[in-house]
Amino acid sequence: MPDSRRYLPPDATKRLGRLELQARHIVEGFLSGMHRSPYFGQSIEFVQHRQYVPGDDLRHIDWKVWARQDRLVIKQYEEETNLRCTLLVDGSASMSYGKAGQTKYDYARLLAACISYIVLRQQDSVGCVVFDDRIRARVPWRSQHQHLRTIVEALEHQTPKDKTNLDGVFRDIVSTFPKRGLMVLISDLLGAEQETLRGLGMLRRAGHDVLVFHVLHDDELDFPFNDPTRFEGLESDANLTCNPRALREGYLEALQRFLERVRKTTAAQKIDYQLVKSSDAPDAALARFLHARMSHHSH
Amino acid sequence: MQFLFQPLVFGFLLVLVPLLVHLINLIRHRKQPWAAMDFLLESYKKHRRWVLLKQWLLLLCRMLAMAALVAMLAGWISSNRWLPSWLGQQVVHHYVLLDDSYSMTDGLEGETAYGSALEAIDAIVRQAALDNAEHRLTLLRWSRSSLASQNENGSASMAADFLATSIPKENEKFLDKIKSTRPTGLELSPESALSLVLPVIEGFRGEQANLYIMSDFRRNQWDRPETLRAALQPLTAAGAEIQLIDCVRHEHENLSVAALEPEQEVWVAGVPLFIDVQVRNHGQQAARNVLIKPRTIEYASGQVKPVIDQPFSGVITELAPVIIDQIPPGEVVSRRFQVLFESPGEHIIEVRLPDDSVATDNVRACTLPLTTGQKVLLVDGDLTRSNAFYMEAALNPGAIARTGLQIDIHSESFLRDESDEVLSQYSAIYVLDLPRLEEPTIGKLERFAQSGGGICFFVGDNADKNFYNERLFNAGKGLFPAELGDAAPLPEAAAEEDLSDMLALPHPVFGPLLSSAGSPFRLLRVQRYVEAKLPDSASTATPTPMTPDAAPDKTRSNTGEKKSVAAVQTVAKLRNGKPFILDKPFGEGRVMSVMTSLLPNWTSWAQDPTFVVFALRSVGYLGSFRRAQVGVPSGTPWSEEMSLQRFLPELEFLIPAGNSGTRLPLKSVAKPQPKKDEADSELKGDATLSVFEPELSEDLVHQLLTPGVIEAWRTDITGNREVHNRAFYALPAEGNLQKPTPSELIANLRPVSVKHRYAENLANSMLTAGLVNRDTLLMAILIGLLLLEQALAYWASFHPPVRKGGLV
Repeated sequence: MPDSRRYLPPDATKRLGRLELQARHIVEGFLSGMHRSPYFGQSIEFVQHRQYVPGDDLRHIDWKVWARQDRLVIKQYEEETNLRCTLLVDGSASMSYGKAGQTKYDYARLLAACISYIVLRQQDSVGCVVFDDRIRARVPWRSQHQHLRTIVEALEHQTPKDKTNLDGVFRDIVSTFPKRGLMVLISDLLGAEQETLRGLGMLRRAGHDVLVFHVLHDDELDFPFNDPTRFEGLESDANLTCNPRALREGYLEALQRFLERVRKTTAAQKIDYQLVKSSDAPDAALARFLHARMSHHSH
Repeated sequence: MQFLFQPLVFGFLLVLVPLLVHLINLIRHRKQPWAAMDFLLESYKKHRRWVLLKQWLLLLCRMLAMAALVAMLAGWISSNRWLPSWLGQQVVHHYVLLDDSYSMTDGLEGETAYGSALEAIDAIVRQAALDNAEHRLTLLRWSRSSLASQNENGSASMAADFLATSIPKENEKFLDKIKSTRPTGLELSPESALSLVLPVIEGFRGEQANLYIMSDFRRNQWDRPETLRAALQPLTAAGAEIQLIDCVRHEHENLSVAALEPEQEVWVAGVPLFIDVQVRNHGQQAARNVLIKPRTIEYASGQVKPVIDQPFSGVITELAPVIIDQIPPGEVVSRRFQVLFESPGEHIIEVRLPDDSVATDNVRACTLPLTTGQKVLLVDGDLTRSNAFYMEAALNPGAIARTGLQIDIHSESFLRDESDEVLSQYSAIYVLDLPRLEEPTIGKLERFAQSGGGICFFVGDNADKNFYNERLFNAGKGLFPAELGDAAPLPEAAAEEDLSDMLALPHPVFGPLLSSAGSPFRLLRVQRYVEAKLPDSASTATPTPMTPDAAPDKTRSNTGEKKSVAAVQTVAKLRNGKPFILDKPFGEGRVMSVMTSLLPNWTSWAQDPTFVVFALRSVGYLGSFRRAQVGVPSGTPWSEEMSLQRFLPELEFLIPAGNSGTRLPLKSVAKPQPKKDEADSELKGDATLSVFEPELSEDLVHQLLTPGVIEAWRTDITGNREVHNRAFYALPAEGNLQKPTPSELIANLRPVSVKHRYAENLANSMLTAGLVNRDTLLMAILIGLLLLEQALAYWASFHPPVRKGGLV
């Protein structure tokens, strides 16, 4: 039974409610909103004050209140924009790694639901695409709150399988999503590396604002295996029987090099990139990510 | 490869365990679906060779460690010679000088000193076989060394049972050869072996030389250590470590037959003869009621055939035992018993003592060659032949008693006319108051005496003083023992004097008379005598016919060469101290002179019973020097000489074969001797029985070194078999079992550095030492392999890694 609450625990929902998503780039929209737009002016509507907590941006402190009442409060605004956010969720076989219920795909679904909630809460539209070597499910953009259920159902109905082919998938998306918007890619990026990076560049060149949540399992980052193990490829027929301890160092080196290449490529293409571990709390990952974006765009 | 615990050898299958574990791990690995295969494969491709190399090295190391563990538990011993050199170990050379004299048979309840020595050698050999280093053995028995030393070219190679022989890992046959050796019947000392082993040690410098002297270390050999020190010092200088392996802890009581010899009387068939036997008590306590069991073995000429499956071919007759009440410690007690053989032949007398710790010296035999008669020549210069009358009356009383003597009475012309060959038939010649002798006669008498004959002069009224002094005495070089003086009356004895006119000194000719309490010569009277002026070297020391603890006749060597002898000896003196009977060695024979005539106006001795004793015993004494020895020490070579005109050259020796009763036959052929001169018409040959004969088996050599009687059977040209016996005995001195304490032994040999150990201690320490050495080596290898395995395992990342974070 699809249940949005399964992916949005109450405490997570509450914390996510404090986050604000600010688009870094001006996107094309047919609704005027609070976001800066190259086409329309922006409007900001004050919503409420809240207690300052360490970590809040000092620029948002209401100094008048501090002068009158000698307490620090934050001014909170409800931003409105005609943001079109597309969640690109990797549903390839490599995302199935992990214990039951704690796979990378599970984590990606949770992360997608969180982002959907945030986007819908600020009255923007959100859509979703689940893909592997092709698009397996597509949910169109909507801005109604009930749309969250549709997205969750689409995520729920997919199970990870087949190889990753970001190049082909992104080519398809670019051709079918001509308007610029926010593309949020949630993937482990494991596949043909060149094709993956080329696909990201393609999205960026199409004018999309691209966010990448690079989801990797803890095991993939730590490689904690000791006993003789036969590793069987999830997206290929390759397998390897080995003493994992003997290969750990080389594996981590290779992985590190890969991550460096991804970071350099995304930075060069002004793509927001965040590496998240499957053991990280999704809201914390989102908050860290959005803080980083906010800081980045304010400059 | 050899192992102490053979069943554990199957443990080497455990070497396969690491391999099996490795294979099982390859099969039983967990399956892990994995997304980031590209990075894993990249790592694998990059490190594949090193990873495989580390794995195989680790696997090999584990297998070797397992093999080392199993080898240690199974008691691995290496037969490979590369191992010592690899380990830098030295070749160890064991020099064993084994005392195989008969005192090494000392022991009770079957455990002998020689057995202890063999066990010690066994321990050395077995331990050497277990050790990784190369070990060599040189084994010299004292007996073989002593015999080899008698040879001009004697060397260790002649004497050694093993000479620098590598000790094999499979050493059972090796040890069997050593254990087949037995102690001999010889009296031995270590000097010969020490002198023979020195060149060997010097020839193998660079090796670790362990010299083991295995003996019972009796006082006889080790209380006079000067020569031993001189022999040992070069050995230590050559780098040998000397260990005295004492095979006996305690002294035991021991009796030995010190001598066995027929008395020097007339040896004729049908005439009773006394046999003297001496028993020495070598112990610390008096021996009481010692029972001597004599027996005779009669070899009647022409009536005995060789019997190989019996200890003797002759007829054995047990005689009544002789009992000695008590023999004080260290003392010799003599007894005599009478034997009578009716037939001529080479008979044997054997005596046996009760069993004690050393059996070899409890039995002794002697031969007794008897003839049908013994010829005696009386030469009387007087026409009435008065002296000859008295002499003949004493020597051949007629039907009263059979003396076995054949008396020939002739004048001096007989001596002049007859050849040496005719004279040699006589065992003794009595020259009775001849005034003078012609030159040819003197020459014949001298040759007669030099060849072992006995001459006895009586001088009276007729003897020409000047002639005797010039031609017969000849300033001490001639036959006559003393320079003659004038005839003189013996002064009357003083009333208070209770002395006999004649005082006999200990001498064989008076043997039985001296044992009586009072003087047997009380009744005889000496009216006149001829004064004799003795040479300066004369003495009153008296030769004893039997010399206990030694060869019976030390004045003659086995080759007949004359040794230095005592000078003229006084056999009897007159009341006034003037010499009355003199005895002088001359060549191989003896010359006696009685300084009186037998006529009544000179002395009444001829009518005295003691004269009969003197006459008979003098014949035996004077005739004894041409007799063959009645016994020789064990190991003495035997050259059997015989006429090849009377006998066929083939002869057969029958040699005792231990306690089995049967004997070992040995065929031999007499080799013709070169003629000494053209006049010698008889062709002679000799057959030698010696331990150096190359074709002799070890058994025969051993028996030739063991006491017993060997029969030599020869066949005359008519086909009759004739036996010649020879008795070999053990020298009794070896039976003295007293020994110094270890501290005395070591102190005696200083400054030579020696270690004293008892044989059983040596065996135990050798085993313990070996185990330590072997285990240490294996343990070191095992520890090294385990350390290497840990290092390789760490290198190959098989140990749980120190937990460190991943990339994020």
